[in-house]
Amino acid sequence: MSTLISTLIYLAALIFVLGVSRKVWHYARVPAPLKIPTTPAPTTRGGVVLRMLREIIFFESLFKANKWTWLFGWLFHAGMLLVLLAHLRYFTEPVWWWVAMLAPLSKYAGIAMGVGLLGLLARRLLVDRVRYISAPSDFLMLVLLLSIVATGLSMRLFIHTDIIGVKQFALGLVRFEWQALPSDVLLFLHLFLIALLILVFPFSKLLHAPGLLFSPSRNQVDNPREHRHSVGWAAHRGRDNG
Amino acid sequence: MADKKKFEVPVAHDLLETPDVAEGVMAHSQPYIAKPEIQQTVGFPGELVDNWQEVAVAKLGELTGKYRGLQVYLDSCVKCGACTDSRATGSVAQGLPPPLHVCG
Repeated sequence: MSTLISTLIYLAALIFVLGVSRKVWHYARVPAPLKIPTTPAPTTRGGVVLRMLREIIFFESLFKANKWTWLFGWLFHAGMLLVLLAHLRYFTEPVWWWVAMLAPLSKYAGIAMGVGLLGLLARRLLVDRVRYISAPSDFLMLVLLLSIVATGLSMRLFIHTDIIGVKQFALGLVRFEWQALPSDVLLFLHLFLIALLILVFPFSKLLHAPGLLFSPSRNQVDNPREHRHSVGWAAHRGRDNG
Repeated sequence: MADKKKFEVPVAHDLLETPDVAEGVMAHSQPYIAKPEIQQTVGFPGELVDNWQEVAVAKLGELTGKYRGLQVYLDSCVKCGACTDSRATGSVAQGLPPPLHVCG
């Protein structure tokens, strides 16, 4: 069981790194020949940096578009950030002080993740036009994440697992010295589902994480008159008749 | 200012009403197709080709290699549905493809 899950985690990590790198490489290499910032857009580089930061931290455009989706989506993502950081305690020895500080918070962060995901799932099921545009993979992602949160929270709140053993297992993965995983069905499920999630990441809409940074409608400066936008294969176009 | 024309002006309410999803509401909507000879001069075959699905997919593949935005939006759309609410466009409610830049 330990060997199986260790192999699966390594495989998932490898495919994640290769797959996401390939995508990011593609995004970076393909030109954005059109000047298409969603206006009103910043007219300076610094302004764009601020806009992207607001987008990444607060999901600004989603907030403007739909408050309920924003609320549940943001709850989920903010909770996930805290939970991921808190999980660093399993991979570091000694545990960094600020990671240790997060430990008591991670419980509530996990609950926030669950609430956000349930809200988003309810929206997909109950709002007719959102249901209309939902594909099976949209539900798959929500159910996968919900299962990960459910198994994780169960171990955190009710049926505690052998976290000393978990830490030895996790450190073993990092140090390439495989250790036995404590035999616990919930723990196995938790890790198995996470491996699955990481595995599908480069082939799914989860790519919105790196994709956001490359969105030309967000990261472009609104200065088409001040600077001619001329890039890539389209560079020579329109120079003579423009 | 003779002959004032009478227009039927729709009444605007305070809150926008989002119509329920109904299949086929835009079925009557068609593109305005140019004459075959005009299409040929801009590089289109003029008539629907038999393997139009393959041609379309191949074209999409070509375009994702030319426009970063298209590839990023196709990969990144989480189908949050915010564009179906977007007052600026409301295009999904009208049965059109969503304007991906609303979320991207």
